[in-house]
Amino acid sequence: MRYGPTPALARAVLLGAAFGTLGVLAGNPTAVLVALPFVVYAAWALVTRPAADAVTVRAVPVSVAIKEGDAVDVMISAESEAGPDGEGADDTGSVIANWPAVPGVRFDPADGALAHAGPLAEGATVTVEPRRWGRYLVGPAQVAVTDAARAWRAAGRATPAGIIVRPASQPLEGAAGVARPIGVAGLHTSAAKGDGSALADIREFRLGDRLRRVNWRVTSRTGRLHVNETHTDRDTEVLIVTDSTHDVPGLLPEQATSLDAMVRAVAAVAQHYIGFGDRVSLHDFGRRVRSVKAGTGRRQVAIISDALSRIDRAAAPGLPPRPLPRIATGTLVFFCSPLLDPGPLAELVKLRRLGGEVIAVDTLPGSIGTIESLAHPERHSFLIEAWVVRRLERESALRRLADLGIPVVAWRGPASLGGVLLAMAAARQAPRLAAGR
Amino acid sequence: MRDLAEYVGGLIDRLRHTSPEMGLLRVALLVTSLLAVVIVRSWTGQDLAGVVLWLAGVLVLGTLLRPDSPFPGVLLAVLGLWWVGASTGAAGWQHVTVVALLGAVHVLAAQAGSAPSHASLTPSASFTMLVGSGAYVVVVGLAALLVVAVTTVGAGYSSTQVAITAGVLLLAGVIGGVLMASRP
Repeated sequence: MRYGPTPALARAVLLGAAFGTLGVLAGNPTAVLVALPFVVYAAWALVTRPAADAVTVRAVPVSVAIKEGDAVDVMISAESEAGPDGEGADDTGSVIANWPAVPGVRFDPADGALAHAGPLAEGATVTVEPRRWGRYLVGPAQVAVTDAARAWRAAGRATPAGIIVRPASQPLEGAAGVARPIGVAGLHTSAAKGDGSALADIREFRLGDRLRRVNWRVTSRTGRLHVNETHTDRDTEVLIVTDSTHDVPGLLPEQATSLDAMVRAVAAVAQHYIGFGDRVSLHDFGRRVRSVKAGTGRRQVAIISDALSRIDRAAAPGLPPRPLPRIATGTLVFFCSPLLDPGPLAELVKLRRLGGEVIAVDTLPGSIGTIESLAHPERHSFLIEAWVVRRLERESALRRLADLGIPVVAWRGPASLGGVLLAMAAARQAPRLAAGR
Repeated sequence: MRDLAEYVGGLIDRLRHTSPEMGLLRVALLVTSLLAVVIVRSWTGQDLAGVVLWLAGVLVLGTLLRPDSPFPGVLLAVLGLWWVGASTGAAGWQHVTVVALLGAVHVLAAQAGSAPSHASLTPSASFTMLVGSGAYVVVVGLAALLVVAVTTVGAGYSSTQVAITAGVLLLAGVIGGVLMASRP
């Protein structure tokens, strides 16, 4: 950005010259007096003229990732460019930064405009606090660097700052809900007996049993050698399918949208099952979230969290749905969707028929489409009635899912899935009819 | 009509979001401008059937709303010409007062136009603005005093008055030095 005279300096030069000339030519000392403030200002401007012709500004940091609820300081710093003789320039002045408003982002100072005087490298720092998870591009800020007299100014734009806000997640409350563990390591006890930690039975010693399995108490009481029998520890594969084709808002602007509910549900489910040692993968039906391959450990939690935080809320829906991956029989599938379109409903049924243990997590905001919402005072259209009808239409589809053995749970927080997970865990322990009977 | 409504709505929105520092600066600019208009009007006692007063009033409003526009320049030109044309017989101190007020309007408009009305100022920026503008007005006043004294020396000023003028000149030099030292 190059320095140039401000309107104040132009005004001072023009009026100073005009009144001065008038005073000299007309021999009027009053005109000379009136020219005086402008001449003094022009002299001040000469004294404070920046040594460099141009200045470079930049926003720091350029890109940053923070947790939801955190704030980040973004600084606009300026640096004078060295003159043609290579000498260092005078690096003092005022930096005035004006950040454009970004929906969902709070600035401190409130309107995102700040003037700071001092060394240019200190710059002007504003605190940026995104209200929700997601990807934000803050700026570019309009920047002006001026001298103390406000006679010289270099104006331009700084680079924008990219902020990624990782969603805050709370661990799911409830049991594992794994009906058929399919892996060979993990924290779930399988129905099969073998090496593990959960006691299954105590029986008499047989050839081949390990000596460390001998139960010495029972052996001494009965006088015959007995061993402990255990269930094997297994893990399972968890597939989280998301449907981001729609972002359905709540009744009020500040209420969570369906995309918010989806992100919270995915983060909680992933954290819950990775904590059990399971392999968790992520697949988005609506193509707004990148797919994450199955993996385990804390790194997988970070990868899924990163994928969620990069969702572009403003992206227009309409892309063809991403085809579902193949799944192994017994895979635990969480399908997070507002369940509005026939496409996701058909995929749910397909996953069930492929042998998955499917749980539908309903992410439609609870505030819309209810009879209570009809009493909302601010009504400018029939949108609320339309949502009531839409929700009623959806009910029949949800009943058909329930008939197919797919539980549908509305996401209302980390405790939402507790009931269904407990029911699934209990179903695993229940006696089954043997085939052919 | 709709454009006018949008413009007025925009002005009201800007007013609502004005920061305390910039609001104070605009109030100072309004008071100084009105004071300059009233003083020039009352000390000259001349007007073109009230036209100049109304014109100055409109220009004050324009200066307040758009300090980075030609409004302050036109306002200062009108006030300057008004004073030059109609201040015959004014006392020296009246000249000094008017010149200091013109300087104050000019520097306050320069400061107000340098940042958007919703910009907050850090303490260092406020200090630099206050010291710079204050020192400038003082220097302008002292320089005007000096010019008034010099132009009236031949009209019978005593050696004491000349000495006082020299002292004022010295003081102006000192303040000029302070002004330079106050650069951020």
